[in-house]
Amino acid sequence: MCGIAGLLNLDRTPVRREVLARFTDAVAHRGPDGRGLLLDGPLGLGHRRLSILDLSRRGRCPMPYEDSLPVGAAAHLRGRVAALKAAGCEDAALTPYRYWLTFNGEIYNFLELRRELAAMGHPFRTETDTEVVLAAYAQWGEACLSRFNGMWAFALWDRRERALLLARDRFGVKPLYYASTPARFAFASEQKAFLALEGFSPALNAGIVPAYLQSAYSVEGTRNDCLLAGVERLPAGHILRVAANGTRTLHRWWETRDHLPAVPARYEDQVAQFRDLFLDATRLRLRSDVPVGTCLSGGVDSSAVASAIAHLHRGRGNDLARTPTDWRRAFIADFPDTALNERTYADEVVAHTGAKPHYWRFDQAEAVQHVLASVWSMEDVYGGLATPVWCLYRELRRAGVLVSLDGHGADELLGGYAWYLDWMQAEANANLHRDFHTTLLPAILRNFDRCSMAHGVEVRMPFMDWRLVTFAHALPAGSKFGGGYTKRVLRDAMTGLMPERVRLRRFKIGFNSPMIEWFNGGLAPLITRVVRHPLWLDSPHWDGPALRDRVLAKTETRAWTMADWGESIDLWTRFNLVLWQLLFIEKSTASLGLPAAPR
Amino acid sequence: MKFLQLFPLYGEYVTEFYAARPDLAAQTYSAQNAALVDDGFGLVHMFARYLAPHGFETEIVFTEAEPAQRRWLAEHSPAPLTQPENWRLEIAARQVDAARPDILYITEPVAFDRRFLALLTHRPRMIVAWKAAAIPPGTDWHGIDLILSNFTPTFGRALERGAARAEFFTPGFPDHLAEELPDEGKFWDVSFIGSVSSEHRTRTDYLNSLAKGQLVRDHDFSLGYFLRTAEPAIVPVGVAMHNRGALWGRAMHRVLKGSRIALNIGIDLAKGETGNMRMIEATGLGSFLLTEYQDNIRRYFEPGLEIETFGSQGELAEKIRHYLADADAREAVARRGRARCLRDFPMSKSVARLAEFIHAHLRT
Repeated sequence: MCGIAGLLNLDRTPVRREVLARFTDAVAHRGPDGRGLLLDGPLGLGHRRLSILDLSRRGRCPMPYEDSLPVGAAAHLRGRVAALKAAGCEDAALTPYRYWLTFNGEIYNFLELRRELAAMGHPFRTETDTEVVLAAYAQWGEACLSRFNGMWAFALWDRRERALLLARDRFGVKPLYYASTPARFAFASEQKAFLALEGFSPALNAGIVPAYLQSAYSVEGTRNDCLLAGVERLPAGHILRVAANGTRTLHRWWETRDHLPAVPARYEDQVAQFRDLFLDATRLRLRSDVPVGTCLSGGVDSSAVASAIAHLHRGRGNDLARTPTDWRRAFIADFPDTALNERTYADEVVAHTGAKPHYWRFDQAEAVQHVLASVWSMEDVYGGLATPVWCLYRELRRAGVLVSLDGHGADELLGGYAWYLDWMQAEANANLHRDFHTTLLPAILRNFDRCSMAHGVEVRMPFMDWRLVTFAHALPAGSKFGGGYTKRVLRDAMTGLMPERVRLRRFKIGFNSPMIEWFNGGLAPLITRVVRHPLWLDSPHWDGPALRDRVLAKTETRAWTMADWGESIDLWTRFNLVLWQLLFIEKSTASLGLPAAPR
Repeated sequence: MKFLQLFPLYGEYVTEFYAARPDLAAQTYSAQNAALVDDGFGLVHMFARYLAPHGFETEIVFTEAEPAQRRWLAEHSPAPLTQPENWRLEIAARQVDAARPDILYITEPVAFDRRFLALLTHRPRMIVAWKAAAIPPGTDWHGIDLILSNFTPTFGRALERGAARAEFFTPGFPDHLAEELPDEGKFWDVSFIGSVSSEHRTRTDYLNSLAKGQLVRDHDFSLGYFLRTAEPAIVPVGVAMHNRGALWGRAMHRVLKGSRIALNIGIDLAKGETGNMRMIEATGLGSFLLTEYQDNIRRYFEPGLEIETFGSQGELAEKIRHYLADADAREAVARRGRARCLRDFPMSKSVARLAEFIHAHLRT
């Protein structure tokens, strides 16, 4: 789990080390454990490492691979390369390797794939999943992707073919952006990296703004262009091949509907199969050489994950290879005296699982101080503030827990939201597919990636296991909405594994910011400044002066109420857009009368 | 005096009824008929079962119960049907002709309208029918002497369709029913029993609002919907999610009795008027009735005293919260509602009133 970046100079000029280093270091927060660079003439690969598997130097990226050398020759050459690298030389032209990989993500089934590839004669010199990706590509080509169970965004340089391959996981858990000009192709894990790229002039992609104002949730999964003009995202489940001459070929390698399995006809059998898949998805995601924890809200999804972790450790005969001994810590956000508080449910799960609770007490005054930092981290426009999420993952980093198994994805996979209940039954599965793949979940995945990786914390999501996803999408709607419950099959699958009161709770609290309280309180000074800013007042997308007057009237009299929740979301989207422009285009919040923008 | 009642059944009910009694279809017509009577489907309308004390010799025919009807045909009128696709009407007509009743009571006079009467060779002295719902275009009630209804728009329409007269009438609660059901306590917090279709948009919206409310408000309770859904494509997920399947007869009465709150929401057509049978059944069984407010509600029960009403989704949620939290208040309302039902809407009163209509007609 890391940050990646890279350059391919299409005019064949060599990539300059300092240019690549600055570009790569712009995502240093994703990988605080070190930087790796590969320079190969017009090609440069950058990597910021978050050490999760094989913490040794052998696990560093960019990582080379060459499977065609005799074992002895390979060892000799690798020794030479190691010596050269130790001397500070990272020029791949001096190495014999065909493939070089800069990798962000985790391949959870890497142990199984490694055994399979080793049996085919592939040598391994590290204990990483990264090397398995390389060997798998050497063995199966692009078809290797469908063998991976995990989340990833990577770039693989094939020196023999002089081609760069960019690939993203099935559902877009890990991000990848690129910008291309006639002279250069550049890619990075986050948009903000491009601000550090020599020759890149940041500008707002004005054409996309109406889409954000219509639905800030659906842009991530429905468009490839980004707020930052000239930057595109590689869509989930896609491969982009870039030849040395700049020719680009984009194609989809994954379509969920092509992989739906036959599901049992009996509901009870569906439940049993779901339970097996969910527990196995959790088991694979426990593989780590550093401590693993969980973010526990007390809702059904996160509680199911925490309970599954405990169940797997309690049981005998579970293959928990490469699982750390430090796995019990549960991070709980405590929102005292607010409607967001779920502490009593979380505590029941703690008691049930034997988890070691780590409470993060939400302090409105303190959290508000991080609003701009979280906007910077999120680097996009969204209909809500993710500051509490951002703060919670910071707690994990502070506690030394670098991996968190969380419950994200279950609501979109199994139908957890109240508004889903308005759908007609006949359209429920098609709508879930849409929200899962395009109109909702991609933005949520982006938010969790940015908020966790802002602090160098990796989030793993058992509900995003492709086997579970395809199984769930193949289930009839009644297996998701039925028996009086949403997420029916999950609740039934967890019978006996988690506290009943939590398993059967219907009331759902999202991990949101207390928007109304903030509009009336801690956020008011920022709001007041934003609506008086020229970017607000002169916006071509809304009537700035009229909206300013309305916002000021309510904010100054603290008149926001829960009845204004929808309006607060709409307004925050606009505030967010102005703040984004200040942070990413003007690169300064001085015009708001605020201290220097976070970096 | 002979009274014959033609009694409709839902096809799904007939299927389930016989599936639960796999040997019944092979038994005699009278055995099948007795089993159907005993199951109590539509009991508040089953006047043939209660008219004997008023001097009537009664018979009931379940027109949709195909195994029983074909058994009757085999036992009493083996000649081939002239229109096999119209077996319902033709067998019923033969039954009427064979029984030669003085009074023919048609519980469902849309399918059994003038076209059915034309099949009869025996002309009863009086033909009575019940209707309290929409009357499809083309329905012809010429030949029907009296239409009974508790839905006032029916009166004018009945005459337009050819009926000779129309009178206000309320079916009755059989007071033996509550005692016959086992006392199982309350096992649902809130239940709703009925149909959802394109004619029940308001009902569907209310039911879905409760399902959604459980996700957004911290107030959980057991919520059971027992729905007949002839148009499943238009049922929202929230309603379908709570649907335990349609209930009839004893099974329906058992759930009504076992509910802390029995919900009642009328058909869209009935705006401004209430009076469906669920009100009488729920209160008669001693359950707290929470019903959609309609202008004529006081004709039946006193809101806040004998039943409770709601006029919006918010009020529905609030009343449920209140009355689930205050068991004493809920049970006091239920007790008073039951007393009112047994006083004003007992089956004994309904059949007495029906007998009066019949005697009055025969006198003229």
